[in-house]
Amino acid sequence: MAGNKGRGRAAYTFNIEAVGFTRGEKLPDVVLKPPPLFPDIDYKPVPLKTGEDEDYMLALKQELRETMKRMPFFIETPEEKQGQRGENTVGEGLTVSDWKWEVVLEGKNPNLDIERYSKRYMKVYKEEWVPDWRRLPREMMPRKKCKKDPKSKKAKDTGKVTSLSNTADVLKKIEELEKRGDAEKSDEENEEKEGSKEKSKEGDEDEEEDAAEQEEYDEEEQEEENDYINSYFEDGDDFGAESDDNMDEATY
Amino acid sequence: MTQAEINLCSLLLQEHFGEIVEKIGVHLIRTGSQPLRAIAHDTGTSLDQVKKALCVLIQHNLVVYQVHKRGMVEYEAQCGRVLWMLRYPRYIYTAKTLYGDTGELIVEELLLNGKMTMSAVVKKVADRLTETMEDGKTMDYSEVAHTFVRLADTHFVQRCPAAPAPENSDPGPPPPAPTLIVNEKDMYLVPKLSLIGKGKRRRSSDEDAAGEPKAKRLKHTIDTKERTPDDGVYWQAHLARFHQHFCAQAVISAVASRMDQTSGEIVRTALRLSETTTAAGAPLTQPLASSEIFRSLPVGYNISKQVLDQYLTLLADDPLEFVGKSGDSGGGMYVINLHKALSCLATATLESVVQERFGSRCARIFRLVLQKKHLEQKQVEDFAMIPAKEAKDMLYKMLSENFISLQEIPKTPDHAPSRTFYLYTVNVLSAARVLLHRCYKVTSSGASRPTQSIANLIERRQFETKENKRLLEKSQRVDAILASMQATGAEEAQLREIEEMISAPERQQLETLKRNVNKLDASEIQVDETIFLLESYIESTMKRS
Repeated sequence: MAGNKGRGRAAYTFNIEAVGFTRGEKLPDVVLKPPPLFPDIDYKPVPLKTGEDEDYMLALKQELRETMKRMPFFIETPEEKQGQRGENTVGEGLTVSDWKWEVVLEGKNPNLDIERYSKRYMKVYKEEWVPDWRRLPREMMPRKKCKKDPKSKKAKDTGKVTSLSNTADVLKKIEELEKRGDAEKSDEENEEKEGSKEKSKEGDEDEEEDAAEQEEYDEEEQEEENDYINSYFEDGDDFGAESDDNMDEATY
Repeated sequence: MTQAEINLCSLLLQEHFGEIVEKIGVHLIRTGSQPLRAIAHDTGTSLDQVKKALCVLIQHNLVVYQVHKRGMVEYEAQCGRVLWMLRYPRYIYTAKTLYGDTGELIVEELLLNGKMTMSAVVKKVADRLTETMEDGKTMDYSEVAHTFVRLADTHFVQRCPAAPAPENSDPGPPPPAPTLIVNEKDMYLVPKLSLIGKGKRRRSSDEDAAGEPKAKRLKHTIDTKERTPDDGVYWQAHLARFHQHFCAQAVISAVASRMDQTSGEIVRTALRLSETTTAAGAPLTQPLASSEIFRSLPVGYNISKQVLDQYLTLLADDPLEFVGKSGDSGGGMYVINLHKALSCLATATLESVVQERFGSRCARIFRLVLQKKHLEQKQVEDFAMIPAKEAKDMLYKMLSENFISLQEIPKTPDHAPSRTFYLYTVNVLSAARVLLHRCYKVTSSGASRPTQSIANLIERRQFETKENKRLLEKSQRVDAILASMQATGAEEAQLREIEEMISAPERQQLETLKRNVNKLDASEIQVDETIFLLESYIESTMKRS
């Protein structure tokens, strides 16, 4: 039929002339690789606009960039706290006390540079910023941890754990992987419950507890990962005995 | 959101707020609405860092939250709003041209802090202005407040949605998140405060509901000793209004360059009159009588009524159709066709891009196809008077870059290629989208300098800065030493010695770096202008269809 016309030869299904190639002409090469990263261009670009407006905006832009870095909204990545455990205010990255976002900035990012003695004395303190809690969802508020009664918390803790078989296991495992003190552990579970979908009567109880807990504030620092047990500094007398017990508890 | 836009958002967030906020923000943009736990789990950051990042993002109006049933709160990022961060210098500069230094600082403070109360803004701006003034003079709060009121009246700043007043009657457990109410009427209503001087007690005659926080829920950790009377009433910069202003500016300058300065002024007057009466995205302004325009012309232009009428007729008859005549009452009713103006500008941008990338012959072909709508290969060669081989080559180049597209018209129902017409056409909307995307993206496959992608620019700038970090730090340290020595009074010789710590080639390197960074920054600003134009055009077209 019509398909056998160009037997053995390349026959196109359409009229090649319509696309602009004459018959028998050499077709352009097939492209075998992606175009180069910095291709040559035929025409040089037009120079940039210059003028008062542009200069002013340029200066503004650069100034804004600098200013943003100094605002309390710029959150530095917390560095590894090597050898600075247990300190509250001196250190790189984020340290918060009383939920004030007092960020302690280093002169440079120590991760990429050698540690210098002088960096301790080159700190820049930023302004604090406290968000307006009335405009934010409740779960944004920091959880206030109860330092006072780790033992009673433990009791409540075990109670809650058994009764909560439905809670998302994945979230729980995440919490467990982070080595925290008991006080925070029970808090986390309370938080979890609040946000979780299985609301039962426990929901109301939890909210009350939460409200009570929020009245007692805890150090933000304890939320960060460290190997030290939180009650380390609390019970001076029974230090040795206590810490072992807490070690066990912490490995939930 | 396209990958290119997400990439750009990531760069912007990182520059302005740091890596943690960037990680959370990008995650939200990619995945849409998510609850707190899911964010923490998916990004692998600790819960409290996620909370902090979200607080920052919500403060800057980049993320909104919504309460779903069963008490879950979900957070959603506004990608378009994040991209507008690129335009901050332009907003601030516009405020400066319209309302002077005071206006500039007010808008700058609002943009830097997201939302603020009026008293906080006024105080901060007055302090900043006082610093720049001569010794002994101070900036009065009332002046700043006056400028603020003017900004609110022209809608450049607006109130944020208000938190519900908590003198509530429901005794049940409080909702997991406050529902913020948008009060249309009060959006630009300035609370009546009389802020006096500096340091004196502020009196207020009237105030809006701020309310006491619920004692049960919150424990105050506020540092301020007194509660300002307009506490709880937050203001933000109204960016859509700025966009409207930019559009107007673009139209006016287009008219002025096409005809003359006077016609530009006439269009400016007409736009100013219809500013507050026209809705934000309307394609046409409200009709204006020529007598109205005549009355409101700026004082310097004393042209007679007939001349004005002639200008208006000329504008209305212009093939670009920026101005249309909609009636004859009142000496002639005229409307300004914003949509048509925007599409003309977008088309002009496309033409200019084609010209700069491919040459003027390509541009001729492009304009030809634009004008004739659909053309066959043969017809293109004939009309453009360009030899077949070259015309074919150029057409394919433009086709591969998606400025031109092919339209198939089959002669037979089986769509056989030998019996199908292939017509070249320009679809302005899709070409505009392609160009916009190229403006955003990182790895352009065929980088073209005139529309250099912004993300590329930002990355290159960061790369350059990082490469020369050591040198930059050294120069900063030297400057600091110099400054401190000068302050304590050092000799010339000593100062020169310190300056020589930076050798000549290093100085050269620094100069080059500074020049490059400036050039990259300036390019960013100018690419943003193109982006704005294309975005407005696409938005306006989508609204009509």
